[in-house]
Amino acid sequence: MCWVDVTSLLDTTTTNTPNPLVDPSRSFSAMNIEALDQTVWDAVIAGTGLRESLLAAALARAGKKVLHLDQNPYYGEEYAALSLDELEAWTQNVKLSHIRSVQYKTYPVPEGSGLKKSRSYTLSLSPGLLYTASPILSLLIKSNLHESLEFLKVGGWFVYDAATPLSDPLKRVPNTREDIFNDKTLDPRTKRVVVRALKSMVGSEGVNLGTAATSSGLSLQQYLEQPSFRLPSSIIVAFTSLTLLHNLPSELPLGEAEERIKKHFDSLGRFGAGFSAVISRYASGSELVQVLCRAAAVTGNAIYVLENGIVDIQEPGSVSPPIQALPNESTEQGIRLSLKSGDVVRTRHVVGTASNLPITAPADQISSESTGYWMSIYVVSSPLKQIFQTDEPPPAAGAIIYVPAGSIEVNGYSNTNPMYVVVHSSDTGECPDGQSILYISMKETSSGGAEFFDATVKSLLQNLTSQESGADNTAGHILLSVTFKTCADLEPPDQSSSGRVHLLSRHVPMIEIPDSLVEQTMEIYEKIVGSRDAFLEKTAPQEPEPPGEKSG
Amino acid sequence: MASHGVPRSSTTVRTPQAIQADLLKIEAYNNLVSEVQALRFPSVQKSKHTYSPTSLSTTSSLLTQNPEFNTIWNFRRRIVLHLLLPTSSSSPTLKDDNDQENDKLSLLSSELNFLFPLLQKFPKCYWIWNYRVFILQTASTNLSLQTALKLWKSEMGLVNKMLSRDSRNFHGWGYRRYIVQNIETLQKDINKETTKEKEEGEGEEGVDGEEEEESLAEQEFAYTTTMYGKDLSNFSAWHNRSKLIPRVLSERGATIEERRTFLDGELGEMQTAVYTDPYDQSIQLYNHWLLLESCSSKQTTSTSPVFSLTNSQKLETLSRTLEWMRELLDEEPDCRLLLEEMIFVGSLFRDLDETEEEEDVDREEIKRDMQSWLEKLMEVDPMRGGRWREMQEKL
Repeated sequence: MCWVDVTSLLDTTTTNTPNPLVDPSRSFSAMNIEALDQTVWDAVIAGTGLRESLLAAALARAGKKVLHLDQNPYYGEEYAALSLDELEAWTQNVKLSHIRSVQYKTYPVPEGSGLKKSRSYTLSLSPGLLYTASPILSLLIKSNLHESLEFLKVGGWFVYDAATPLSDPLKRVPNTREDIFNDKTLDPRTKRVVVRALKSMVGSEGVNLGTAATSSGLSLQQYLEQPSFRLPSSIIVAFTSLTLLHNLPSELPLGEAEERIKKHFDSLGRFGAGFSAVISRYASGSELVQVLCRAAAVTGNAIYVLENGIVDIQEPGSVSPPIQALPNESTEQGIRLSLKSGDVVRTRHVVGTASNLPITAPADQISSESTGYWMSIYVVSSPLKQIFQTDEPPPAAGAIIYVPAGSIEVNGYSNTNPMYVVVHSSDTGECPDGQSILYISMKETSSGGAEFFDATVKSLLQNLTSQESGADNTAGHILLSVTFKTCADLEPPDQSSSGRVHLLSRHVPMIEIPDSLVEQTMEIYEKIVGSRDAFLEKTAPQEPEPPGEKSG
Repeated sequence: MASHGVPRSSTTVRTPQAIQADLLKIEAYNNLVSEVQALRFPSVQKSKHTYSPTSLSTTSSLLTQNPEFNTIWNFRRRIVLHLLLPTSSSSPTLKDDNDQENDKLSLLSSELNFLFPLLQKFPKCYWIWNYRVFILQTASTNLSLQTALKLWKSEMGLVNKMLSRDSRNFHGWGYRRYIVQNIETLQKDINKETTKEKEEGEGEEGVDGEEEEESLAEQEFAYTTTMYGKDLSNFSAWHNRSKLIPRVLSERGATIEERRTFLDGELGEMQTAVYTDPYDQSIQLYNHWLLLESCSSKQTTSTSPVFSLTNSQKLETLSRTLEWMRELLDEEPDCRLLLEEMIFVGSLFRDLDETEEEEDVDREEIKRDMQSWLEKLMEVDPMRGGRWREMQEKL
């Protein structure tokens, strides 16, 4: 018996335990070393990030033998779900070179309203938002994996402007013609141009932007300020907030902005009225990883080993003397991998990011040009009910608040870049009842950084909890914050020369789980399987072939 | 657009196993049909079972599987009517009226409850709706007015749910109007009874059943406001609104002056709506109705008009409308619907008698403008070019 019963480990994913998969005592090498070197694996995948897990599931479903490793004692890598203790441990020992200036901070709060037990939190480093029109979702649905996931709607989409003291600082972003019709602050003429702009972005009424406007190098702001629109600034900000991009409206390239806004409107109404995005319960991205890894394991074709990694790669030719044989057969002999556990395994393909493979990739270095972001996770002691209210039940579990540049002031300076706040309610199962989780992100600026986050959260809590104080009198407090600096938009690395070591670019999740993950995964899948057909599709049930008996 | 934006589920390919499972289902279904038919046409000995509660539950299982089987719904109607008959000679202990009423109520409301999940699963099956209406009507004739009213009133919950799922559904709105009408009739009868009782037992205090508002016109009027606020293209909401306005105004006892204020409010709201989306037909149609109802020269004096404006008030309203429409046309010069409406407003204006203070230039200007609007229409709507040309000739 050489199979680890991974399914029994994975079966616990539906319960609210943050890391059901973590069980180093059952690590593979301790159970049966023999099987590792008796098999020629089709692919050894290092790291259990979202792309790696998607690839593992697709390969295993296509009948390929997969050995899936992770150096960490938990699954998910950049999408891992962590308890408080694990998060604190993570902050003290960040191995990723692109994450810097990590700060774990707890705050003094009144008796009884503080943090609960470490295990009652399932925190992720990114909010893991998915648009309902995302190809990732359609892939999950097509392959029947969505049934193991519980999607919750991201209902509220707001612009927060604390600078206007009289009106409600939290303004809902209009999604429909009716939202604009009902907005009492706009005069009829403005309503007309806003609806026209709205329709031009959705692509109806035949007023499409056209390639001329897109390629003209205009920014979103310049475009919407054109004579044919002359939109008021509040509406320009509202449209900007739909892009999920951290640039100022005046620095947002029109083409990119238009694509993002279209995506929002394409997604609206697909899963129900009034929302365009969803999150999965229990730390969105992490749940996806777990479902994919389970799908890989239940095929019987994939083996999972945690706390193990590749320390050396020897491609054929470089070690053993070349045997007089056809090229095909030398491929069958495969690459020799030395693992951290001391095992040596043979495989046809190796997949991983540079941080999980013994490879130095030039592209993995952080260049001075790559964009830096401040990111932060806050736990607050308020359910923030107001922002999760929706017209149609059930209430939303996620909300997005856009904080425009210049609306938060700290020590006489105001934020020069906009901030995004993604709020998760306790319905996500990620924090105890009565609390919420806020993910804040902002492009790095020369003046100030994370101190704006504290001020933003405090200001939000003040404004929101004062309005719902009738329900519960405890004002919201910040309980915890984890802040770090990260770098996004890195160049994709070059493929290794042999074509059998597949290097993945570093993936830095921001607000949304990007669609490009599917394309990146499919590219490697195609190189291994030879075609993209039936990617992730479940084949007819059949007895898994024991790996040791594979002819070759 | 055919499904009003309500998502439709895709069909799936059937595997051999699924076909096998379906064959078993078909066999079980056919057995069930035979069982029900045996109940309908029994051998003599068994005849007393035909209209029994057991028959009712057997038809339940059949209809749950196939609600399109209308004959079985008719059979079920007979069973229910039979079960509603007073249990006369068979039971020696005479039940009092209250008990009988409770039995009937529990039978009828259990029928309504039985239909609810069926309607969710087969919302477009006419037979279920027809049967539901039959049960409600039966309640009106077999139960006390108060109890029947409760059943009808709880039906509003179902209607609201339906219209929140498909807010423009024609049948949904029709059913809503039917329910409202029945609630109003029942309430009227109840109020009549209470008045009679009060008259008969004068001085007697604490007569139960306070008189309640008979008309639901105001409530329904407010509902249309909510519904068009959610979807301006909800033609059913606009239509219902136009039907409710005469009732609402007369129930409010509105004076001519108040009616005019009301009209101005509606027209103002429509200005905003048309500005928001001049390309939407349902908005323009309601605006069209408002103007036709209030500003037409052919307004008949025989039936009481909803809005009785004087000639000069009509002229003033129409030129005010044309003014903002002209402004909007500057923004949307190619909007066919807007041009058509402007021509309509212009011809309403020209049909009215001239007033003394009015200058001729106004009329001339409108005529010239209408020429140019028709010109534009021929350009943007060549499919109906002949119609626009004829109109132009007749100006």
